[in-house]
Amino acid sequence: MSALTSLRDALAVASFHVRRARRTRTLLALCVVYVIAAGGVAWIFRTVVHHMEKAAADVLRVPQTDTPGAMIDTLRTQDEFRRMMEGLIPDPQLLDWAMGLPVLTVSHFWMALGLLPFLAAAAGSEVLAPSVHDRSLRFELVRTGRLELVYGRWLGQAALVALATTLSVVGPLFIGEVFMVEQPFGQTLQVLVGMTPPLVAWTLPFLGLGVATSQLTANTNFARILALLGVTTTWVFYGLTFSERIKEKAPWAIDLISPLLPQSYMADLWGPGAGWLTSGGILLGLGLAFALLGYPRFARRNV
Amino acid sequence: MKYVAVAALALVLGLVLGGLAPRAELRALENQVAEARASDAECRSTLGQDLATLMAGAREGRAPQPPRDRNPLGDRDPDALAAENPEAAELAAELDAEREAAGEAMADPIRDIDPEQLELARTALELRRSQARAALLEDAQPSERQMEDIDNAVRGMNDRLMGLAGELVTMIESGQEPSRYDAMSFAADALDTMLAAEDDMRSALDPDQLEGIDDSVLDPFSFVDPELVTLLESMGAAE
Repeated sequence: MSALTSLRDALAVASFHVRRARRTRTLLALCVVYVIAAGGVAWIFRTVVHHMEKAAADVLRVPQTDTPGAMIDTLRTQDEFRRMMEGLIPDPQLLDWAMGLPVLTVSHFWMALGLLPFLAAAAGSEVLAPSVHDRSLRFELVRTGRLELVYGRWLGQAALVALATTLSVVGPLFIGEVFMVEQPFGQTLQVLVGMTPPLVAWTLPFLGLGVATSQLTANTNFARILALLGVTTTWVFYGLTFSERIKEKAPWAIDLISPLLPQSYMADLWGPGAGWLTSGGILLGLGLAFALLGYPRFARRNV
Repeated sequence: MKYVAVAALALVLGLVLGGLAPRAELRALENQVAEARASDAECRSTLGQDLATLMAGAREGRAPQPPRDRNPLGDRDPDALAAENPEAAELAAELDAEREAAGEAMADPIRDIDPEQLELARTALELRRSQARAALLEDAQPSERQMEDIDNAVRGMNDRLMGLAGELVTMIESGQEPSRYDAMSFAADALDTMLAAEDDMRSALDPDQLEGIDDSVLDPFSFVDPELVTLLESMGAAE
């Protein structure tokens, strides 16, 4: 099979995967899950802000409000708040950029960094396992190779996840507009949409991890559990890279492991402009490589 | 797709193996920086500071002694008097200490406030203003016209308060100590201004709206401009 034919096959598989997801309402379910998750996170943030504002209102002896958000902008313009943020974001230019963002967008971005890997891995684990289970995969394999099928479906699922991630901005927008005050709709929408491409890039390695587990077993639930365990493991390893003990005893282990962890490129996704593209490219490469982790078994298994 | 797979694996391999040497070099440099910082932190000698103090003392000669108070009981030596009446001397010392403490507390409250506390006060006023406005909007749901009237009343109040504070600052800058009458007059004018502002705010709302809101929503103290703190800060600096 020539390289061009292989690429064309993968694109055809991806296209078919997207169309099938739309027909079977999988796409709709995925988008609903993402919107609900993003909305839930925004609601949690709103609740925290509301409790803080109520406490502050009591201290300042001013009336409480049922709808939070009035104090956020005031706090954001205070020097003291800026000094506190300097501890979290040492780069002055990045701090200037971050201080100008609507707070809902900041919470959406950082919460998404924690939540999206699990959603993407769960979505990825459903890419191949059901087709192996009901043996429908063999009809597609008559027309194309296994690698094209794996990458085609990975690409198709990545497109679905990208669409769901884009639509997930509806959640914080709705919460900000309906359940909070003084949230600038236009600016929030603009920033949220601008944050979506880095977030999509961030999900790709975890999607690849899900696709890998989907090749290991025909049981979708088991594949999902393996994928979620895989994501958790990456976070555990990421935490270990900060261990002083390991830094002293085996720094080479950190050097070997940290480039393989998507979390190592996480901070670079945060910032204005196109500075995230390098990290985004590496995450894309990691996604493609992670999807191959289950391929040695998938290439040999009887489907 | 084989090429894509090979490229992805090559990228990962390159990231891992190609980055080993630069990361090791970076770690070594980080360690050097950490060691340099640690040695800098350990260097806590005050020799230089002590030497500078000594030299300054030598240049200025003997430190000036505080002038001795005049004896309020006449020309007799106060030490001799204290020796004769130890209880009276103790009582007098206590009274002096209390008078000095009270004098210090009353003398200059603003100058002694930490700038950070002033900043906190400014933040608190700003937060109060934001929250009070939000509560007013939520509880009374005023129309745009009503809100405009309320904003005008608040603006007028703050302009008047700033004017009053400005007069006070000018008085102090010119070296004139505000008398008790001046202070009372200032307080009365400020209260009048706030009462007038609350009346204006109340008159902007309908009776139904006024019934539906908490009394504290229209508290004019909640709408005081934080710039007033800045002005008072300049008063402290002027003194």
